[in-house]
Amino acid sequence: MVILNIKSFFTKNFVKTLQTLNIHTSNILSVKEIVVKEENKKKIIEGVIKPSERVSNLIKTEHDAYACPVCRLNLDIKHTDVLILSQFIRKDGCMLPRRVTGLCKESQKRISTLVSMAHIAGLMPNYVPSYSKPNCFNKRREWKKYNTYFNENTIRIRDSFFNDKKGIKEKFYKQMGLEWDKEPWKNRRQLDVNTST
Amino acid sequence: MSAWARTKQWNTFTRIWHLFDATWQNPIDCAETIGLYLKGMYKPIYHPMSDCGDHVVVINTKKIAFPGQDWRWRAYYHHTGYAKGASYTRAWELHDKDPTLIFKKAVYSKLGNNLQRRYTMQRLHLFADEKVPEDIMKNITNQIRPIKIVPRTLDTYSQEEIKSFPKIFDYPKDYIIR
Repeated sequence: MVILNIKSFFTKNFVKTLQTLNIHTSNILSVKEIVVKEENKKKIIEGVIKPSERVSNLIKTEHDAYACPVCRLNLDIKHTDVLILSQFIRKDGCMLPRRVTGLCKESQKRISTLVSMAHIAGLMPNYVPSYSKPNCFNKRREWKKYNTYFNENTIRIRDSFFNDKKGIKEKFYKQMGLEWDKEPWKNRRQLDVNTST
Repeated sequence: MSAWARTKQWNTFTRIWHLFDATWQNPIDCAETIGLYLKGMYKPIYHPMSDCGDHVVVINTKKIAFPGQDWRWRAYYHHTGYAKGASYTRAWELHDKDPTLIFKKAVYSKLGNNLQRRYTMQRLHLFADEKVPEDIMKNITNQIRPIKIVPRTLDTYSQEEIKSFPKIFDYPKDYIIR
């Protein structure tokens, strides 16, 4: 990353331009891929460092808020949007962990349920584990062989710390003599800019 | 009655034939709109005493969809009339026997309990596949819009389409692709 020590440069707009330009001196967006070769009865396994293919098609948001990639877009993702959901899974159809996706706890939970919905509906037949038989989606039996769809309103996620619908937490904070932030992400945003300096 | 007024009346009271494709549609949601067309309630001249209903031809009833676990848990009741004659069949078992029966029952229940119900049901033509007899197919002049969007599977997209689609996040630095 480019590091500058002059404080006056670090207004919000300057940080924005840095992010949109993607200036990097180090090789930050690179991905490993394990390659297996066989030469003269020898098996060579090596990890090749490659530039990731996603860099050119990444979405650039206008604001530089500290929010997870799904919350930042504020999209209504459904289980039929397979082009979006296929980004969050491995080749065997398994959901990627949170340290890789970088999502918040709620949206990780939500998207993992959406992925399982899409698998049950048979919308991602390419992404199946290696041990499964070919055309396994066409060989379904009994009630599984007919078309099913899902309603996204049935997804239930436990309330997070900041989700305060009944106002109980706000009352409790006032009794303790503390301030309750209704929009905590705004505070986080400012903190993120300061820490970069 | 002049010739102009006569032709106007012929046109208003002719029965129109509609086509409806039932792939990935919920039959219970569809039954409400199909019932309007069968009774002719979308017409401005509608009156329950006037016989102005239309024909509806439904194709691909084998490919209907249900939400969640409804194929497993939705039961259809039948009673023979004799003692201990009650029977419950699951939706998927009924669909195995006759792939048009679930759609027929859904429309029948939505029409309402009238003396006219049996006659309006005669104007509904159900087919499990796309194969429709020619004498029915040549009458069709209109298509009813599907209620639910038919989802597209991932293997129907090309590799270029998947690669060029905008990505939400990038892999971390030392991630190993599997």
